[in-house]
Amino acid sequence: MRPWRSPGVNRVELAVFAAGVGALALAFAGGALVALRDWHRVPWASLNHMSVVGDLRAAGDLDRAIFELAAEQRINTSDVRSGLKLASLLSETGNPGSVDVLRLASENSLDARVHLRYAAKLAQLGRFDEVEVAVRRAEAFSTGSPDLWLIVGDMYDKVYRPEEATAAYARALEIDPDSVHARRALQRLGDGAPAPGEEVR
Amino acid sequence: MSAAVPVTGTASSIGVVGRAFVHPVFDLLVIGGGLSLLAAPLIVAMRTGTHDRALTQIIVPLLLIATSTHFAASTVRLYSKPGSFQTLPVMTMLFPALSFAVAGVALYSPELIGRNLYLLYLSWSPYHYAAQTFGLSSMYAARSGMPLQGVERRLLWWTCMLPFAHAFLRGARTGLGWLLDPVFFAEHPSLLALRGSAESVVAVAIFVVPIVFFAWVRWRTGRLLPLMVLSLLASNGVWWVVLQYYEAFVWATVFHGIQYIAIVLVFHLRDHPPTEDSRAAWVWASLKFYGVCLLLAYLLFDVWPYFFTALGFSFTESVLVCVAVINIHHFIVDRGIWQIRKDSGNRRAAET
Repeated sequence: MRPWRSPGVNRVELAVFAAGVGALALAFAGGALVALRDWHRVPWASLNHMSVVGDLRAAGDLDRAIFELAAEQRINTSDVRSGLKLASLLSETGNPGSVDVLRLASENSLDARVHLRYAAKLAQLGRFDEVEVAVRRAEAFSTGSPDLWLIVGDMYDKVYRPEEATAAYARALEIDPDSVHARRALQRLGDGAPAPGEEVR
Repeated sequence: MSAAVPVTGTASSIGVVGRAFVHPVFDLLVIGGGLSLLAAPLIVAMRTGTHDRALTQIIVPLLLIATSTHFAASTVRLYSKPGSFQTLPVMTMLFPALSFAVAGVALYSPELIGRNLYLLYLSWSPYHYAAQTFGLSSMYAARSGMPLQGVERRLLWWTCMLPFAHAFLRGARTGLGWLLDPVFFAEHPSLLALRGSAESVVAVAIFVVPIVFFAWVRWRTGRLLPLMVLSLLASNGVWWVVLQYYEAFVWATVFHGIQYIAIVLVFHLRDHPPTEDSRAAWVWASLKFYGVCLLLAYLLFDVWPYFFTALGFSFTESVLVCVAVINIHHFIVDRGIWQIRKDSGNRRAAET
C-alpha cells in the first residue's frame, strides 16, 4: 500500500487520502484513550451497545440510561424494543415524555402489541379519542385473535370505562365464543351471562 | 461481493459440489453457507428463555471475529489488491476522508441524516447479501465449466434477488417500511393484506424457484449446475425467511461474514502467495491477512465510536453512525474490488 509510488496517482487525491487516513489514525488513538478511561470493562461494548443501557440501569444511573436510549431512538427508529424500554424507564422516573416515546414506537411498528401499549398509556392519561385510533391500528396489525379485544377490554376496565370495556369483551366473545376471560368480564360488568348450562369458572 | 461474474470456465474434473477453491466440503460448508443451514435449526430451537441469553453471549464475539472482520476485509483487500490505487482512485483515496465526513454530518444531524443513513444501511444489507449470492453462484458455475450467460444469467440474478425482495417487503421500518411507514398501512388494511400476501408468495418462491431454475438449466443444457449454487441460494433464503427479521440481520451477517472472509482470503492469497510453498507458509500468510482484518475491525467498530463520544456525542449514536458508515463503505467498496475484467487478477483467481 504505497500510493505515492503508484504511477499516475493524482496529487490532490493523494492529499485527501493522507488527510482521511490521518484523521482516522487520530480518531483511533483518541477513541482508544476514551475507551480505556471509561469503558474498560467490556472490550467490545459497541457490538452489543444496548448492554450499556443495562449496565447503566444496574449502576442506578437512570439519566444516562435514558440519554442512551433516546439516542438510539433518534437514529434507529426500527428498534421498537429500545423504544419500549425507554418508555418504561421514563414512566419509572415520572417523566411525561413516555407517551411520546410510545407514540413514536407505535408509528414505527407493525406489531399490534406495541400499538396496544400506546393505547393503554393514552387511556391512563384519559385521551380516549386517541385511544380509539391506536386500537384501530392495533386491530389492523392483529392476526384476528380474540386476545387483542381482551387486552382492550382490560385496558378500558382498568380506567373505569365500562361501556367500551363491554364492547371490547363482546368482540372477543364473537371471535371466540368459548373465551372464559370474556364471559367472566362481561358477567362482572353486568352485560353478559354464561351460555345455558355452562358455568364460568 | 457483488459483481464477481466470470463468464468463461475451464474444463476440469468437477464433482457434484462444483470446482472447489480449497476442498469441496470446505467450500460447501463455509463459502456455500452449508454451516448456516446446519446451524439454523439450532438457532431457532435456542430462541426462547435462558437460551436466548446464551445465544447473545455466543453472538457478540462472533460479531467481532466474523462480521466486523469481514467489513474490514474488504478494506484490507482494497488496499492490498495490486493496482487498486490506479484502477479505483476514488475508493482508495477519497473514501476514508469522505466516510469520516459523512459520520460527522450524520452525528451532527442525527434525526435527518443519521436516521436515514442508518435506514439506508439496513435496507441495503439484504440486497448486498443477495448480490454476493449471485456473484459467488455465477463464479462457481463458471469455474465448474458452466458459465451462465444471457437469459440463464438474468434468471439466476432474479432468483438470487428473491430474499432481498422478501426482506424489502417484511421490514417494518426498512425497505418498503422506509418508504411507507406502518401508520400508512394501518390506515389502508387492504394494502397491508396485499403486502402480507406478497411476502408469503416470495417466501415460498425463495425455495421453489431455485429448484425450478436448476431443472430448467438441466433441461436446456443437459448438465446440472454445481451443488454450491443451490447451497448458496438456500442459505441466503433460510437467513431471511426462517429466522426472525432482526435475528436474520444478526445471523446473516455472521454467516455472510464467514463466507466472505473465506473467499476474500482465497483471492488475496492468489495475488500474494507466500514466497515458500509449504503448508506452514500458507497458514501464516492466511493468519497474517486475517489478523490485519481483525485489528482494523476492532479499531473501526470498537474504538472509532469512542472518539465521537469524546466530542460529546452519545455512545449509542456514535456506535450506530459508525456501523452505518462502515457498512455503506463496505457495500460500495465491494462493487469495486470484485469487478472482473479481462486479464484482471480477479479473473485469474476465479478461474484457477
